[in-house]
Amino acid sequence: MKRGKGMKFVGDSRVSAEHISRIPKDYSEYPGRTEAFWPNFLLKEWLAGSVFLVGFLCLTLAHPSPLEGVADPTTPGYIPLPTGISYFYMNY
Amino acid sequence: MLQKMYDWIDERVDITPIWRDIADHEVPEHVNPAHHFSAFVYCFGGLTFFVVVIQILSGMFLTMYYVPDIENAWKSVYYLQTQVAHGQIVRGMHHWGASVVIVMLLLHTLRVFFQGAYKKPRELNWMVGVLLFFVMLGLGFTGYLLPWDNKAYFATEVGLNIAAEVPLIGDYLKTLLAGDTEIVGALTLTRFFAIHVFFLPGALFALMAVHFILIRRQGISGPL
Repeated sequence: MKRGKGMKFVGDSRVSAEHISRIPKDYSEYPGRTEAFWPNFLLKEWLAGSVFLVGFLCLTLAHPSPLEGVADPTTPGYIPLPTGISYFYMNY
Repeated sequence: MLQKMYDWIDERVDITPIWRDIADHEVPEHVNPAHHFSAFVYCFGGLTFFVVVIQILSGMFLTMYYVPDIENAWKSVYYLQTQVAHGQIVRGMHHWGASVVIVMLLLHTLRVFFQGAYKKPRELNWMVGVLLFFVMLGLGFTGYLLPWDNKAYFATEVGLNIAAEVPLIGDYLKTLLAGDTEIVGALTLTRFFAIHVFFLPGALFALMAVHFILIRRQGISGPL
């Protein structure tokens, strides 16, 4: 905290005369470590994307999407709860 | 050969600047996970787009078999699921992708929110993003009915009753969506199919185009 003497104020003692910019510096202020989007970065991005795709496909293979019986409005007492919620709904 | 074909077209319609505009920009250090691993949070927006692409492609293949009619909808999905080669995987990708895209979208929103990347001059892009979120929820809601199984039917009934609770326009909204004030049936299914396959994807593409153009215009927000 900058308390005490030597501080200049603009009328209101809570506002310092020294203006500190809250706007972050533009990234052109940090030269030298940028990377060309095409083709270097995009290829790396696709590598990461293919890892994601493999994980996603593992999920789809491990858990086939469910399909219940054909829709019948006369089904008695059907509670359309998403799986996962029903357990808590039934028990608490 | 390819180069000659490219040159032939480029000589006539000058296509080089079009793709150069997209390709030629530097990726700044602070968003590059190769420099700072924590920059992986910048991947969520791209992953959302990637899952959207998966949804579009798998959805296109699903419509090759799906029949939007109450007699055949469930049967066509059952046939796809049990008989068609790799049908289970294609439907599985669409089913899980619908959930994963919401997760990625929320992670992307959290990243933008906590980094304050929505602040001036990027407020408009935040608003477009919120609209994209609503479109995505609409796609999820309308897609849920299409398999026409018990869960789809009764969940849609709940959803339509929620829509009916909207002040003033609720009843009209429900009728607009369901095609009838009471019945959830043949009309509801065709309407949900049309909304899911034509109306909302159209809005999605337009909004995504604006979202991406604005990103290229304004650049990525600076480091924290």
